[in-house]
Amino acid sequence: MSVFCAAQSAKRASSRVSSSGSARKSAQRLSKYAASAAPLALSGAAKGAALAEMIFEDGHDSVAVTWINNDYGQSLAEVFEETFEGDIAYIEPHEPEGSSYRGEIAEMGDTDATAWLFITYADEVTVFINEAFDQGYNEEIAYYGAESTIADEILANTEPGSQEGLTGITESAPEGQENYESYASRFEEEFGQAPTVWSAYAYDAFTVSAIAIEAADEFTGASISEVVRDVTRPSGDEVFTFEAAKEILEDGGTPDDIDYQGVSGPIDLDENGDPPGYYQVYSVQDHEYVWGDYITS
Amino acid sequence: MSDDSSGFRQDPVGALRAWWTDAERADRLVYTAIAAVVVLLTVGVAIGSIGIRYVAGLLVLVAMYSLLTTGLNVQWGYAGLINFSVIAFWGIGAYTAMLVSSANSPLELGWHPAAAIPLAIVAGTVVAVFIGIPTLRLREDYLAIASLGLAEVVRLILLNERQWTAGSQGISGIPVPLSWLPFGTRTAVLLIGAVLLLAVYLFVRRIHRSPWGRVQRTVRADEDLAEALGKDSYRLKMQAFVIGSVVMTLSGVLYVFYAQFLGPADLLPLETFYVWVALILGGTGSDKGALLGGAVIVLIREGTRFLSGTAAFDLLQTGLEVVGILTHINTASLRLFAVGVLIVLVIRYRPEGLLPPREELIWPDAKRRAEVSGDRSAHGDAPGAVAEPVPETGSDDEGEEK
Amino acid sequence: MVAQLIVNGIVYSSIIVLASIGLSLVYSIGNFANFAHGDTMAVGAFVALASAPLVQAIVPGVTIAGFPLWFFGALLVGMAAAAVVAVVTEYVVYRPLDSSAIGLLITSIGVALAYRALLLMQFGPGQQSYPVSRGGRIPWVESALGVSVTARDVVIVFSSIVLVASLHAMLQYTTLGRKMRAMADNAELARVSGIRTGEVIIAMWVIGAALAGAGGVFLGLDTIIRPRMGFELLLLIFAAVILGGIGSVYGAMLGGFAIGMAHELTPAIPFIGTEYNAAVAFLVMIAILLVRPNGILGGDAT
Repeated sequence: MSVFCAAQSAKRASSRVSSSGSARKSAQRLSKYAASAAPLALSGAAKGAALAEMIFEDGHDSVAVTWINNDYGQSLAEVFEETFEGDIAYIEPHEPEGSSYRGEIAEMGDTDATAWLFITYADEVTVFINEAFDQGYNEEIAYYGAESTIADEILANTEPGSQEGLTGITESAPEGQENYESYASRFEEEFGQAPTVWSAYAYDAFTVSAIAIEAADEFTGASISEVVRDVTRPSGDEVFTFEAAKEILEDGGTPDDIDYQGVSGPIDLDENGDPPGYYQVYSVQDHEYVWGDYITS
Repeated sequence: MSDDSSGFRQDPVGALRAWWTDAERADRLVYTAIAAVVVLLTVGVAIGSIGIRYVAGLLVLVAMYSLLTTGLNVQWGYAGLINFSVIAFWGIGAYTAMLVSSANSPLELGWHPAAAIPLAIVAGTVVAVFIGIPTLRLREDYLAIASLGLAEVVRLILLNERQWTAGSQGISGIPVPLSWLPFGTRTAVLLIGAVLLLAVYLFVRRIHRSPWGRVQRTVRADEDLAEALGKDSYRLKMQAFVIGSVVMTLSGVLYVFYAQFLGPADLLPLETFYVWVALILGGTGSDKGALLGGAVIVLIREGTRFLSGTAAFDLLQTGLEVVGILTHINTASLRLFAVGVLIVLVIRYRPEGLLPPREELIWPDAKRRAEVSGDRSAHGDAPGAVAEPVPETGSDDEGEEK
Repeated sequence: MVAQLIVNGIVYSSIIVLASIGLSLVYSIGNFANFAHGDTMAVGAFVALASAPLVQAIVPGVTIAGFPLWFFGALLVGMAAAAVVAVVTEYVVYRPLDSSAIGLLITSIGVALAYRALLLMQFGPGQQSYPVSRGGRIPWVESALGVSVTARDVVIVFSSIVLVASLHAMLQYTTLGRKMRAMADNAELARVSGIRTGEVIIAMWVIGAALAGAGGVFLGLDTIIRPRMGFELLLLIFAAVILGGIGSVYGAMLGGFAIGMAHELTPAIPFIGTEYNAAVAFLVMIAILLVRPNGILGGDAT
């Protein structure tokens, strides 16, 4: 739902792309393009790298990774495997919505990994934590997770102490940054609730697409993708809104003169079109979630 | 082709009238209901309250389910084989097509999608034989369990052998044959579905009205008797199993042309039971009944979806919440309940289905001769009775008609 | 690792054995394959869960070796509920049906779907657990044997042994047990010799469903409770019964043990990933069937 809300607000911004009679058609095409771009922004590429770095720097040379067998899990696990500097003792998928993961736990326990990374959802990690607790692994192993292993229901369904010290990272919006604050309050006015970090992502995806379309020489996929990175990179003036970017372009500026700072972070798309991640660390202390530093990859 | 088609060509109106008077009263009711639904749909589309795209999509689904039901009918209706792995063979056909033709396939073969059809047939045959060998000699409920297990194994392999099947990510996009026609891809898919369904229907009708079909009926009714009469029941069962499975794989091929995306999650065990309901409801052993069953299943699925969007349903939900029971009622659970109750009711009150097989095993030629001689006892009856010997024209070709 | 897997296997086997016995009873006395058996387990599990608040209020807050007493009260409620549901289904659905074994099989599928749908509509699709604290492993077992065993594991295995032993005693030493064995052996002969088969069939449903309900409660205790828990186990239960030999309750026990162990020992098999554990159990069944088509103890009476 939040993606649609963001799409709505971004669509309004994008309908100002061209004032010609084809405005509506452009906006439609834009929505389609951006709808496929939003998942890019949500990709696990940066997150996997951030996790790898964090776990290694915590002193774990050997890690066992269990990832949920779908594209979310697969893509995150692949990035982790590429970027982790130590030894990956175990990296295997587990079935979504399983009722028992004893086999996986036995295999993981059989390695000499000192850290276990759970790339999975709340229901599954609850089962993992409980069954590992039954066998006492919570005392020997450092647990790590990502954005889907933090939820109140996990705490409610597990024993105190069973996941003590579990550490993870989750997306965070740059609270305090001005354009995020104004975005958040506009969002709340419009829809009656605070935006999630996902709607912020979607909003940025649309806005970046809109700027790229403006900046491109022609309305084709190829030329848009040429400029989309330039408008976000740190060269040029920092802009926080579509309107400001458009002004620079109309003054004769090039895509390089724009550096779009999004509501979900500085963006700065790399050569794969992926934004750097902006995350916050959380951990479980005394069976409560405690928030830590911000990191970026 | 059977002989009554020539009668139809010579005197269409007379043939239709004869068909109507010949039909049993219960069947006439069903045909009228079908006609009514068709008329309603046409009117709905014409006045614009039902989208034609939506109806076209529904028709493709009907073709898909009818193919599945027809395949199951060959296995269960003709030969009495309990196969709970319908969805697995559907998956085999679907994955074969995707893996060889899709641009995103991990195999990167990029073959023409029309190749999917013969390849799916081969794949279905191989797997069916592989499964049949250990299980067809066993009693029928063993086959039920074994097929259930097979379905799970197939799903697991498709999910876990990522290097060949792309695993949980799934595969998207497959070129559709005949899309060079000026009507567009969707129409091409509909056309393919119609052609496949017609070809399969004519084929099964042909093999059903043959000595092979008759022998199958005997095997189904009393395998020991068939063996005593010198028939190789294992070989016959294997033939029925393979033919049915191959038809199911074709339905999977049709699906990927339509849906343009496939993943292991599409192999829901529940779908197998939908097809079973379709067959029982349509009429076990009846080729027409299998087609009808496919349509009925789509009707039930759409109907429950439609129902749960109505105000009456919201009222029901509110009422239940007040009372405090069944508070989590929704489309999926309602549909599940409806299908379960439907199975129980149909087996209890109309086990022969809506369009039971009437004349499936009688040569029209023989029937005409019987009518001419004033003897109407040559009407067929529901499976379970041993076929009566009927004089045949032409050569006495016993055995396999493939 | 293997020692721990064996422990896991023993616990899991207990659950499978309880379910298999029930299914085998229906197979041999009722003469059809009851595909609703898995969902009967789920019924037991959920009713036990729903009754927990009430039972907790009634039963004294005593614990046995760290395990609360009220749980056993909820267990009995779950078993009773499963039995009631099965008997009602027998009267409403199966008895009026004048159908072959295959017709009953297909009908039981409809019953299974109906059970599951009702559970979904009443409890929702999410996973739940019994309000029993997990406790963690028992320390002295850990130091003595090097394997982790929790209080739950002990309760499951111990209760299953009690239930199975009671069943055995009932079958061998009571009149009802004799009648059931007679009917399983040869229903016509039993009827002719004066046994009221109707009564025996009700007893079959009560006992079979109660054991299934118990299996469901233990499954929920061991893993999680959710509406499709029964269907997920169905394949394994049938494999166990077929492996042990249809018509033999003792075969079902053996088969249940074998299948449960095979399922949990999959990680110890090289080259086959844990994700294939259901497939392994199933393949074990196929392998045995190729060698002994009647199962291990098949062909014998109960």
